[in-house]
Amino acid sequence: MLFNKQLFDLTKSDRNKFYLIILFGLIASVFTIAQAFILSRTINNAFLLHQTLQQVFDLIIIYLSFSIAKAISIWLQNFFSSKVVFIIKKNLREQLINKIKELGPLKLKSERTGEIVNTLLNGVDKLEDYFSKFLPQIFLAAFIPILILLFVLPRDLLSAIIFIVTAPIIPTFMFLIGSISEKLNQKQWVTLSRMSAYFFDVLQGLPTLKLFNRTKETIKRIDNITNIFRIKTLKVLRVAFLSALVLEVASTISVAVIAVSIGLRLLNGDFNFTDALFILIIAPDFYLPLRQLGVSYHAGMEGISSFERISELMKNESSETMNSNQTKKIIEYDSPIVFENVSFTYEERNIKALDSISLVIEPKKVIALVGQTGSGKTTLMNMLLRFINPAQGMIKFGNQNLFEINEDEWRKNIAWIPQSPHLFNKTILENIKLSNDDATIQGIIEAASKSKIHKLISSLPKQYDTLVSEAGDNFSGGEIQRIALARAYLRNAPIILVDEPTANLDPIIEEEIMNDMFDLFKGKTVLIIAHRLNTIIKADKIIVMKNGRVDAIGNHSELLEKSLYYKNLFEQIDMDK
Amino acid sequence: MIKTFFKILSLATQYKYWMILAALMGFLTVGSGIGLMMTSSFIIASAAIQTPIYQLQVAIVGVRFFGISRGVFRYLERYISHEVTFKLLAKFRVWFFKSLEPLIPSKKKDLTSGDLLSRAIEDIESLEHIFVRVISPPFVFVAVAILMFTLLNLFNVKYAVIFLTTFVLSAIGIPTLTYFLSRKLGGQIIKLKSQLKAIAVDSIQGLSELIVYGQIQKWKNIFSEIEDELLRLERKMNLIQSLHEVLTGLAMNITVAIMLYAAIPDVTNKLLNGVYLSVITIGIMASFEIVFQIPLAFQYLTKSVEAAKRLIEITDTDQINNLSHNLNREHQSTAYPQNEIQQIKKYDLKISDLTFSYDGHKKALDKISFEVKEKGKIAIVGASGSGKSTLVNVICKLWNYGDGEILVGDISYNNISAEKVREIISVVPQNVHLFTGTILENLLISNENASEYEINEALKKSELYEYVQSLPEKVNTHIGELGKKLSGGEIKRLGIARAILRNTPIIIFDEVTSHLDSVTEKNILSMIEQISKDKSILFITHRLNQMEMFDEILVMSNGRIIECGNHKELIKQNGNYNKLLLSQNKKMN
Repeated sequence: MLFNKQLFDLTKSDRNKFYLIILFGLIASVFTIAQAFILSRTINNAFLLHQTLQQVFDLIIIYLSFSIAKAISIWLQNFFSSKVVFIIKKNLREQLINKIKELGPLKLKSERTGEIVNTLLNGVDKLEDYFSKFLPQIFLAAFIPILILLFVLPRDLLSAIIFIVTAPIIPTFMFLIGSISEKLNQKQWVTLSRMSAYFFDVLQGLPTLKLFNRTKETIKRIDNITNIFRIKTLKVLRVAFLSALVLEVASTISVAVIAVSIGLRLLNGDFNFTDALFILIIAPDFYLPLRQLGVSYHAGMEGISSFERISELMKNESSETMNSNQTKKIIEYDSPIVFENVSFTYEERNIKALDSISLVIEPKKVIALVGQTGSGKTTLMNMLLRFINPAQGMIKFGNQNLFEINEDEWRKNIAWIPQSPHLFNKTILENIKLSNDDATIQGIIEAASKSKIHKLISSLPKQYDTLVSEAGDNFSGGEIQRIALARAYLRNAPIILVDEPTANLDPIIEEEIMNDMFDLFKGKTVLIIAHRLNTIIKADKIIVMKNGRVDAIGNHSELLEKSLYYKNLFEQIDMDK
Repeated sequence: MIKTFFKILSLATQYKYWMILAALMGFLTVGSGIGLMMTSSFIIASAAIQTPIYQLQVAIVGVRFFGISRGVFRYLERYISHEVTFKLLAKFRVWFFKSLEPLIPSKKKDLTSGDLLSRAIEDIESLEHIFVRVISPPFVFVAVAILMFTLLNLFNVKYAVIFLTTFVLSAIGIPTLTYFLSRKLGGQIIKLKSQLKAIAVDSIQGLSELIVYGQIQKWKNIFSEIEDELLRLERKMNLIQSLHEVLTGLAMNITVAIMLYAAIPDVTNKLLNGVYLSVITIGIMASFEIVFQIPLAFQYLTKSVEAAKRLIEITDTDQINNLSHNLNREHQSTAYPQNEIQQIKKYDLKISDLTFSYDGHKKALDKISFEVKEKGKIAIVGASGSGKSTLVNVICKLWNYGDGEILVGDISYNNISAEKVREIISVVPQNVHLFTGTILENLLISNENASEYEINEALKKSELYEYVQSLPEKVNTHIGELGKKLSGGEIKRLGIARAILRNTPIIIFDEVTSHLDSVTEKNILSMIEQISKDKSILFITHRLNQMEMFDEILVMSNGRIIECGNHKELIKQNGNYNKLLLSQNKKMN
């Protein structure tokens, strides 16, 4: 149940080091046994044989040497377990990062950034104790008692029998009570997470609660709910702690029984004191590994549940873009992009996002994509960005199949301005340079000047070396757009893909930015998802999309005559006036 | 660090008797262990020299007693300390909620952001260990030290002193040693962790750009470079911490060796009965059980203090806000008359020369003056950042204003409490927060005494009634079960239904129509027109639709009102409003 095969397999690459952890754990307990042996001998010699300090001095020194040897073994055990943890964490994170890249932005959208980062960092961290404590302990809990038994058996059969009889009681009870309380525990986890969720909820809703004058009641409720939770949980724990009781009592009672039985036999004279003391000293160590297993049980649970979250992320199927035959280079630049009967359906959705689309994007023309939300504009754009592949149909770039061209090779031809560009927490310089590793400072300044953002950047104390986070709130939406513009310009690519911003920008500023963009990319192929009349009118060609299909293609005046749908979109604007 | 720790402790003082009881149980558990081992070795040693059995009877009973009592005390200790833990957890939660409450809404950063709160909740939950791991072990340690000192003193004060010295040295020395070894590491690890996190968040948010611009490999390299360093330091930290177990074990053995060295000559010289040689040795070994827990206490102490610091930091971010709120509190307790609500007879708002600043320099509101007459309809328009939301927060008395005046029914805001202000003003916020729970519970949040009739009326008015009736469990449907099935429009409607339920004379609509498609927007606007017939309305928006319904429209920019008038007048003026209107209408969708 707690020995998870998948998790154990993670140690595969370093199985030897993992075995070393167990080996040094065993060596440490060999020294523990040796210590008990020496200690009982020393006391026996001084007590019954009336030896002086000089006579037992060597024994004390041996005792100390064994102590040091034991300490070193334990340290080596930790040395290798930290090594194994190091490697496992590194490998897992690398796998996760590769997965994140494979999944790409579209598939990841469904998961929240915070959750992914949490899995990548904290989730992996939580496996640490599983590998360094819990997993080796499973082996040690099996081997060490046997080892000790081997030394007790020749000295006293009765004590060995007591050990053999009581030892299974511990794991059995642990399992019995554990499985009962695990069920209860799981229920409890649900309540606990609900509890946290409730607390999170009220904290996040604090503005609302405050506006409704409800904060005082809420405080009472938090108190109440936590108390109910406490009472419920303790009810469960009352049972769960029984396992602790049994563990404790099983080991203490057997120590007591062994002490009394050996004592009685000593009285009869058919036992020697050294062996008696040895067994008494070693008895707690017999049970120790089992108890430690109980202690690291929680770490084990946590590791497994954390690993489940990791596996969930890893299970996501990556898009099929990892084609092996996408090796080709671009032969002809300045070719038209031709969509031939392209269809696409998103996973877990029934409706086609694109339905037999055929269209041509001529080189060096401005082409506007128009349509309502869900009409397929963004899907089409995502295909050109190579985030998704068509399910049916083909996209050609000149005579080449677009999807046979190497992904990175293709993207080198593209500059992209998304709806809300992301500025990285780096300097402004690095943020612009993102699109072109070879850009010179002059080139970057030129790009910024042409995007009309150079002035603002120059006015900052650290100019281009200003960290974006430092500038933080000082960047308005319009300024971020302009930095993205500079980024796109610096790319110096023949094809520009633009998703015109819609939300919360000052409309007047927005218009200026779009005008500047058209000036900047004259003579290039520009495909733009357009929302504004001004932008649409400027296009050489307008593609009207509706429910995943091309409704009509043409210029503005043609479309007004040709497409009823386009006309309707228009009249809607008129009505608003 | 000490200050923070005492801050946490002061929250815990209420449960001091519980804590003492739990620590006592902890002591009795360790004590029973010592008793068990000492009496056991006493029996064996005495039997070895053929002590008559009747002299061992007491010891035999003692062994049995300790054998059982250890388990029982362990059980009780676990139980009681968990009781304490949960009580503390409740206390910490309430404390955090109470400290956060006055700071909302924050002027500086979003205190209700998911990331910040989940971090805070994690921190609070990590504080729950503070009793079991941090407070209890030192107490048990001291009690065990006293017990052993007393017992050993019965034989010879020399043994007692030797024991106490090594016992205390190992409990203090070992954690101190590792603390100094790892002192810098801790800070470096935290720094690297947050660096790594920042990079991960940044890159995943900007993943599309990284992919399109072929920067993934570069990112991976930077990430793994920092990760390698972090892992290296974490490993170093692990190894230092593993010294705890290693060195404590060694210290125990050394103590045993020293004790043998000191006691064996006494046995030889008949100063000590040989029987007790094993009793003392084994007793010492048993007593070290508690020392093994001490280093962990140090570790948890550091962690708890860090968690507490972060929590206190959150609640301290808004110093100015805090101050103004404190002022506000003073007002509440002294200046407001009990029956203030009766004094407000007219529900109009007069705002004159209102000024507000976040930092004391830049004005977020600059001499704003306008009036909302009883049953008047006022719209405020402007781009984001123009000061609209600030104005809402000031009018709701979430923040106190600087210069100027707000009068409600001719009574100054300075003379009424925030609670009273919110009894006459309802807000439909831009982001309607739905709590986990049923639709009904979410509605009752605004007015817990609402009758079924009132609820149905509110649902009808907000045009949700039919939708809710179509659900299998109607108003008792769980919001979570609806999940994403609730559309943006429906969520807004729920927010409006809440406001209707409160039945206040004044309602503020804060950007209710943003992020809605045009059809839904139109429907909601007509609905608002209906429900607001007998109310005063303040309508905040950046989208200019159906503006004819307002008596007056104020155009805001940079904290000032730059134009005002009704829809037609403003168009005639051909100023900013008209520009906004024209450019908006050039947009499709």
